[in-house]
Amino acid sequence: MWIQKVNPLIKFLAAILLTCIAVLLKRPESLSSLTGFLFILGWIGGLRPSCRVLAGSAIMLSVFGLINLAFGTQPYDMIKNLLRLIAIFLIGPVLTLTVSPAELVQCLRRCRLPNGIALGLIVTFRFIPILLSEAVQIRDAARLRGLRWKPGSLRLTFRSVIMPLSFKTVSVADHVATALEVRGFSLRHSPTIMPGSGLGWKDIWFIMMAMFLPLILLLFERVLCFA
Amino acid sequence: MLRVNNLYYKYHGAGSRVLDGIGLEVKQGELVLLTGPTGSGKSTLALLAAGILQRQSLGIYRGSITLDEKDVASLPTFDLAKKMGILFQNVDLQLFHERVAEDISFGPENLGFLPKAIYASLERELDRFGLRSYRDHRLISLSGGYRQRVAMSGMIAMGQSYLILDEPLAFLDRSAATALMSLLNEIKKQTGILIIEHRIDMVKGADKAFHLLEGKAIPGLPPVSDDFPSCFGPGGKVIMRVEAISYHFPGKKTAVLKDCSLELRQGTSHLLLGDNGCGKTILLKVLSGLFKHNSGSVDIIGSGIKRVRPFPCVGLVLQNPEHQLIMPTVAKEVCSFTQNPYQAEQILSELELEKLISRHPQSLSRGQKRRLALAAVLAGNPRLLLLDEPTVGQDPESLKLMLRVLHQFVRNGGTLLSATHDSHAARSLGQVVWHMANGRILEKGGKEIVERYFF
Repeated sequence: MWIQKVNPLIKFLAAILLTCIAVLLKRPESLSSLTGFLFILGWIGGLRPSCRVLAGSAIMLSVFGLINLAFGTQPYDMIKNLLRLIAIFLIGPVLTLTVSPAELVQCLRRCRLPNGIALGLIVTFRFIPILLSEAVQIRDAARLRGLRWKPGSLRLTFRSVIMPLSFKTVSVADHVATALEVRGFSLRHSPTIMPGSGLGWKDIWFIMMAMFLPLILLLFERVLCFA
Repeated sequence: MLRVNNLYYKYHGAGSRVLDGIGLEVKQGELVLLTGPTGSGKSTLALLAAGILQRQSLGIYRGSITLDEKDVASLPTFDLAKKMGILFQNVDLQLFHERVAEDISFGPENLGFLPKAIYASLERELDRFGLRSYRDHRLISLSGGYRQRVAMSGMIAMGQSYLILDEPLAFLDRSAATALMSLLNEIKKQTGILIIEHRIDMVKGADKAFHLLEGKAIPGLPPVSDDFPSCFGPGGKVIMRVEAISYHFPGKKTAVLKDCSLELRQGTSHLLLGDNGCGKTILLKVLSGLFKHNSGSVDIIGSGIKRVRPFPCVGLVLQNPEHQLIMPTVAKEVCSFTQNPYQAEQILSELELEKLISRHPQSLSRGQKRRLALAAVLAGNPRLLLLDEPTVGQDPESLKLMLRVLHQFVRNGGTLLSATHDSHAARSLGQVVWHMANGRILEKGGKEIVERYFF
C-alpha cells in the first residue's frame, strides 16, 4: 500500500497538522469531511475494525454525547464534538498501522531528535502492538478457563482480564525498555543510519494532500462565515 | 572474563536468599552450562550477571560481578551491550522490529556497524539459523521456535564477547537445537558463553557445568536417573473425531493446517511430533475450540456439542502459561475452578506446589508457572487435556512429577494430547503418535516414530 511507503516523518507532521485542524474546525460539514478523509486513509492503511470494536466505539461515543447533553451542550455542538473526537482518535491507528518500528527508528535517527522524545516515541510504538497481542492472549486464556462475559461475572472478568492486563502493562513497558538497552539501543551513541531513499513522489503527493485538504476545509468555513 | 564472586541475592519480601554465595567464572573460549531445579535462581543469576537486576532494585544484592575486571553494575548499559548479550526466557519481549531481517539487523545498527557489515551479518545469520525463506516474514506470524531462532540470530549478529543464554533450546526442535549447539561451539573460540538449560542432554561441548541447589553453585551436573514414568493408559473408546480439518489465519490465504484427520481415545496418551512451525500449536488450539477451523469437522463424541467456543470439556495448557494464571494466589488459582477442594489440594501436593500456595502466581519461575497452569486446568476435570510444550522450564525431577500426574489422569480414563520437543517426555507420552510437517499429518504410529524422530 502506497501510504506505508510514505516517509514516516512526513506522516508524523501530517498527523500533528490534522490534529490541529480537527481542533480548529467549527462546522460539522468540514469536520465530517476530515473524519471521512482520515477513515479512507485508515482503510487504505489496513484499518478494518471488527463489529465488536465498532459496537464498543459506538457505546463510548454515545456516553460521551450524553455527558455533553447533560452538561447543557446543544445537540448541534454535541455532534461537532463527537466528529472532532472521532477525527482525533482515527489519527493514532492510521499512524501505527502505516509506520513500522524499523522505519520510525531510522527516521528518528536521521532527524537527531532529543533523546527523551525519541525514546518515548519508540517505546510507545513497540509497546502498543505487544500490549494488544497480550490482551488477545489473556482473553483467550480466560475463555479457555471457561470465563464468559455475562451479567454477574463482572468481578471475575475484571480479575481475569483487566487485572492481568494491568500487570502486563507495567511489566511489558519495563521489559521493552530493558530489551532495547541489552540490544545496544542508545540515542546518545551514533548508530548506523541505513541508506534511505529520500523524498519520492509518494511523499510529495502525500504532503500536498495533507496540506490541501485542511486549506480547503478552512477556506470553506471562512466562505460560509461571510455568507 | 565474566566473574561472579560470592554473590548473594534476596528479593524484597522473600523469606530466604535465592542466591547464597555463588561463585563462577566464564572465560572467553569457554562454554559453561548452568542447570538446576525450577525456581532455584538461575534466571536471577543471569539477570544479575547481565547487570539488569541491579538497576531494578527488586532485592538486596551483595558480592561482585565483573566483566573484564569492571563491575557490571557500574558499566553504562551501552558499553555493556557492546561486550555482553543476554537472551531472555521470554524472547517475544526481546524482539523489537516487525520483520525478521529488520530485527536481526537491529543490534548491529545500534552498535554502529558499517552498512556493509550489517548486510553481511544479516545474510550469515539467516543461513545459519535456517531463516532465509522467512527473511521478510512478520515475527508475529512465526511459531515460538522460529521466534527463538530470530532472537538468537539477532544476538549473535552483534558479535559480543560474552553471551548469557537463558533456556535457548526451550522451544527448538531437535535439529534446530543441534544446529544451535554446533554454532555455539563454533563461536565460542572468540566468545565466553553461559548457557542455562534444562535439556542438558542437548548441550554438547560444555567446558564446565554447575548446578544450582539451595542458592549455591555446585560444580558438575546433578545426579539424574532416566526412569521417566510412562503415561500410557488402558485405552478406550473414541471421544473426539477430527476429519480433514484445515485452518488459515484470518486474512491469509496459505493454510497452516491442511487436511488433518485424527481420533482421540479415552485412557490414551497421544503425542504430536514435528519441527518448529509445522502447525502443532494451531492444531491444539483448533481442538480446544479456541480457533475455528475453515473446513472439515471436529466432533466430541457423545457430548452433543457441535459448536461451543472453547469446548467446555477440553483443557488446554498454553505454550506461555502466564496468561492462564489470573488469580492473586496459587491456592485460589487451583481452587476457584473446581467443585472439589480436596482434589485441588491433592493436585497441588502431587505437583509439589503446596509450599507456594500463598505466593502470587506471576512471582513463580517459568517451570513452576507451567506446573500451576497444569494443576489449574486439571482441577476443572477436563475429559480431554491438551498440552503445548509441557516440558519447557522443567528440570528432570519436575518433569517426572508432571508425568506421574499425567499418567494418573490417563489411567483414570482421561484423554491426553501433547506436543513436545523433549525426547524424554516424548518417550513417556507417545502411546499414539502423529508426525506432522508443513501443516499436515505425515504418519501415525507408536513409539517407533518417537525413536526415529529423536534418535
